[in-house]
Amino acid sequence: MIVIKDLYKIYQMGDTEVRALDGINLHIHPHEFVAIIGPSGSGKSTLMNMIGCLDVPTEGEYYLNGKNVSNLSDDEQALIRNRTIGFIFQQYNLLPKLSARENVELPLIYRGIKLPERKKMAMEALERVGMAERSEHMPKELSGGQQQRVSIARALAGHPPLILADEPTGALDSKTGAELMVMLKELHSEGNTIVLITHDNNIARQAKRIVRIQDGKITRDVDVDSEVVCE
Amino acid sequence: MILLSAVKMAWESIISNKLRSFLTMLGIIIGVCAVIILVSLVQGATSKVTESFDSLGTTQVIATAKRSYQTRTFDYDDVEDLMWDNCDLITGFIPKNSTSATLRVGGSNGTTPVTGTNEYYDLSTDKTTQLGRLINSVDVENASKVIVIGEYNALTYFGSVQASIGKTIKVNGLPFTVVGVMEKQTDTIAQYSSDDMALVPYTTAVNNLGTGALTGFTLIAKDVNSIDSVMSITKKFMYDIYGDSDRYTVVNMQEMLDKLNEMTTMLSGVLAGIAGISLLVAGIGIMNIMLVSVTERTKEIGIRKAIGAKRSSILLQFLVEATSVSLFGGIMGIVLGVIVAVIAGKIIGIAAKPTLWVIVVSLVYSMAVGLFFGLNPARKASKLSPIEALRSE
Ligand SMILES: Nc1ncnc2c1ncn2[C@@H]1O[C@H](COP(=O)(O)OP(=O)(O)OP(=O)(O)O)[C@@H](O)[C@H]1O
Ligand SMILES: [Mg+2]
Repeated sequence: MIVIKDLYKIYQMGDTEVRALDGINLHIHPHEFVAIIGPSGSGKSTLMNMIGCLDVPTEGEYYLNGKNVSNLSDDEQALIRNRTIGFIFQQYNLLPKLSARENVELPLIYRGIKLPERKKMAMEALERVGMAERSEHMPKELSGGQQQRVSIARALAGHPPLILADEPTGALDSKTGAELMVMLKELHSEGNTIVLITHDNNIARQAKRIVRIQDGKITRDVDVDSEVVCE
Repeated sequence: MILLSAVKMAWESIISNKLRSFLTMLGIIIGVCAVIILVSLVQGATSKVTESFDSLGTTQVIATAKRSYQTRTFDYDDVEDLMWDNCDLITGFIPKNSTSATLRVGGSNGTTPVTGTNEYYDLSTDKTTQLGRLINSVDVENASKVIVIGEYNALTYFGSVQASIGKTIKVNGLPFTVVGVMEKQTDTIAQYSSDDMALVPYTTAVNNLGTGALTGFTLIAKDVNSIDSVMSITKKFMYDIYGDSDRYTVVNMQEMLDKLNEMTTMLSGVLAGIAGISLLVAGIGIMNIMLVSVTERTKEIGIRKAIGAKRSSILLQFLVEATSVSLFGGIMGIVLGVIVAVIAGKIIGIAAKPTLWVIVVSLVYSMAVGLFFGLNPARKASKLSPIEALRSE
């Protein structure tokens, strides 16, 4: 599903260059559940932005579902994000002036799905995260955990094959974080490919595969079943 | 479909920040309101003047000596000859000969404008007598002491219109017989109004009221097509007497009407220009607020882009928002403008005419202003990089 070859992202800061990604090679198969870990500033988010077609690499190639997507235009990237990727952000990133349902409908609007169908899909997604009865609430009327569920519903609504989550539990307490992990595992068991970024080893261990990044390089790539990760 | 949700988003964004939206719209509201009021009133005033011109008749050619040359006069008979010589073109002439005279019946008296005229008087106005008759040619020939009075005078001196016919009234001490009463001209029928007036034969006015010789006259052309010929005949006649075209004026109602129309067209143009400038300023206000809005909503734009909004979608959203603000302001300006114009028109006595084209043009123009000035901020928003936009707080 994801094939990354010799990927570099280099920021030129005056005289010094920051190698946020320094020669990444990574394959992720369909239906995998991968956790990406690493210290702060190691390049996790940068990699996630590449995988999510939010950014273009300085050098290297990225194939998504067999298609080279490393040098697409803004609008081509937007199309891929809309069709194939569901994002879950650390800060939820719901639009404060829209209700939960309207937030979930947003990617469907940009996909061009018409109203009765759109509403139905949004309600299904909210149902799945247990937020159906809060569908008309505004984000500020919801708790952090509830907002994160809504944002998961938004990521799910259009049934994208790939779900990307950048520290989704970062702003949640451990209990709510655990609930969220249960939800992600469910999604995985239903066939979604999931890439999860986290600081938390306990969270990472719940994935099937752990990729460790340091200074823009992959330093370890293990299957959880075969090896115990120690820190 | 995307357009529909863009309209909905624009609406939500407008009402979620009511005060700011209103202040942004204010420029457009005031601009459009001013256009509607001014143009409506100008149109109303123009049609009022045009109507009164029309009622005077557009076939009149008016020759007048300028004030400082009124010592040089011309003969009534010469003008009459001029008319008969050109009877294929001219159907009548009315001498211009007015004065003030004291009217008296028994103990009551008052000063009233008295006009010396002839049998063609009715050609110069659409007003006629309500009872009795006007001055006729026999009156003029004989210099008879007959008089046609206004309704005000009839009521003041005789108590009623009917009672005044055939009665004697003293004009500057001389007895005149009332032969007719003019129809009512105003609602109030007060002193010094157009109902306080009197007509006597031209010859009588010269002989008995000391109005002096002729300093101006009106010729009635046979029809609109003969006006040009009558104009040139009259100009030649006046030139022969005064020897210099600067000493008199020869005008025609149609010409004056054309001049008036020219002036109001120019006035409307000037007003439209001022309105255009004020709407331009309003547009800059919209642009300013939209730029602020784009900066404030960078995060929102980032989120929308991350979940798949194309550049065109973001562009559309902000364009629709800017256009909605200006269009909404335009509509409010039109409603307010029409209301104020009608009320102001009532107060100053003009029937304000908010024509459809003014409304349509204001609407289209305010929309265009929003579109034009929204373009830059909308483009700016659409070009934001999603990662940088997401990172902003
Ligand atoms: N726009 C940018 N300009 C310059 N340097 C950048 C930019 N974005 C990221 N970097 C640098 O790239 C490196 C990787 O950043 P990244 O955000 O990927 O780290 P991270 O692993 O997600 O860290 P954290 O765990 O704190 O979120 C950092 O050194 C950062 O300073
Ligand atoms: Mg990060």
